[in-house]
Amino acid sequence: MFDEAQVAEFLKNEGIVVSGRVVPRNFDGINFYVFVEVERDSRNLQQPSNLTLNRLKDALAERGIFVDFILIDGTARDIEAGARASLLHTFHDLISNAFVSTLGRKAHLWLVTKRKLEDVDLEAIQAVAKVYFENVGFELVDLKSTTDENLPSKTVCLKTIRLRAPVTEEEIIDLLQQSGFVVPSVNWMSKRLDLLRKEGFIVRLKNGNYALSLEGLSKLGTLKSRRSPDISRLLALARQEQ
Amino acid sequence: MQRVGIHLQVQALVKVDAQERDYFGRSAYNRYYYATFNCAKLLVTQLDAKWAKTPHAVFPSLLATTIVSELEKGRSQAAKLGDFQLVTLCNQAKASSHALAKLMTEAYAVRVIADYSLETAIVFGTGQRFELNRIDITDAHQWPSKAAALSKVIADAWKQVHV
Repeated sequence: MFDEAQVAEFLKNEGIVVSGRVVPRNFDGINFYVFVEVERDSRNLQQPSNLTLNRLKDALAERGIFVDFILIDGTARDIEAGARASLLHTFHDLISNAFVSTLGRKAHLWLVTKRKLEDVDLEAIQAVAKVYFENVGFELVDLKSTTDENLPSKTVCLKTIRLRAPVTEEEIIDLLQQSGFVVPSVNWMSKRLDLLRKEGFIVRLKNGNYALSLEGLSKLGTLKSRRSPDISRLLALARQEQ
Repeated sequence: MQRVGIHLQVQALVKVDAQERDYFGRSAYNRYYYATFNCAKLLVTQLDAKWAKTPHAVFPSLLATTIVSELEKGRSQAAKLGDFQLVTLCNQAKASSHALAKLMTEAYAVRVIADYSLETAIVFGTGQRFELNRIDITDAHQWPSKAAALSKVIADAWKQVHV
């Protein structure tokens, strides 16, 4: 059995410098958190690498000691602070906060915005962010505004139609809104349904109702569980009959 | 809770007595952790009520494995339908879930130090900053806001794949 000091000693002998103290996780004597300060080498690769840390984690596990490494990545922190400062300065009327997560040389960026962003705003922010991340040796792989409206996706529309088909456009809108989605307008819904019909996923019946095509049913698939869409449909139809 | 954290953070800086500064400082970390935890708890309960009583230490694995795996199933179905908008949202939610898991691990470990390792003192730097076990208070200050932003993306994608 290792104690906290022995875990630190073991890691020191393997060339890992523990930052601060080793922290007991559940106070059970076998689970620990270990803070390790990481740096970037000339190729912008993390040192010590995740490969090394995982090897040591496995080596300790073989001895009955389980550690979670918490990486203190000064570079990543500086990059996040820099991105936040830079974006808030340039787009102070649009952005109220920004967060970054890095994995290897890839960076994800989340934006908290003051209002819904137009495409042109998003493009401008993306352009500045891209240049910023390139300058600090990272690739911006994704940018997400966390204040976007949650519009019903194509998949959600198809699942909703499957549940109650044959169903009118107004009923589809009602069902989507009951599920908590934002439907911007009847026109938006009509366009979405038209697109789904052209793609062959749904059919418009002579009475104006909508139902899934065989292609739509087949692509949506089914589940053999209590969450089966077939059971949900049966229950929805039964409720309608009452 | 976050406002209490801010108050404690400010108090830690204005107190004169060294021990009081340390106590207020470590209490700020504690409150920032609980503000973050409450946000994550609200999220997982919203996703599935059975996760309401998930123990603190289990949150990172719930987020990084179970929730990511469910989002991946949704992504895969959306890909079959050519729903690239939802594919993108699921990918963003998976990245958010991993980031939130990482955040929860770090915040929990720092909270354990703040509460139980009194021998690990708060280190006051210049200006308005201090740190605990090399974690700057300005980072802890951002934990709850970061958790809320990440949670929104995860909840949005989850809703899309669990209709």
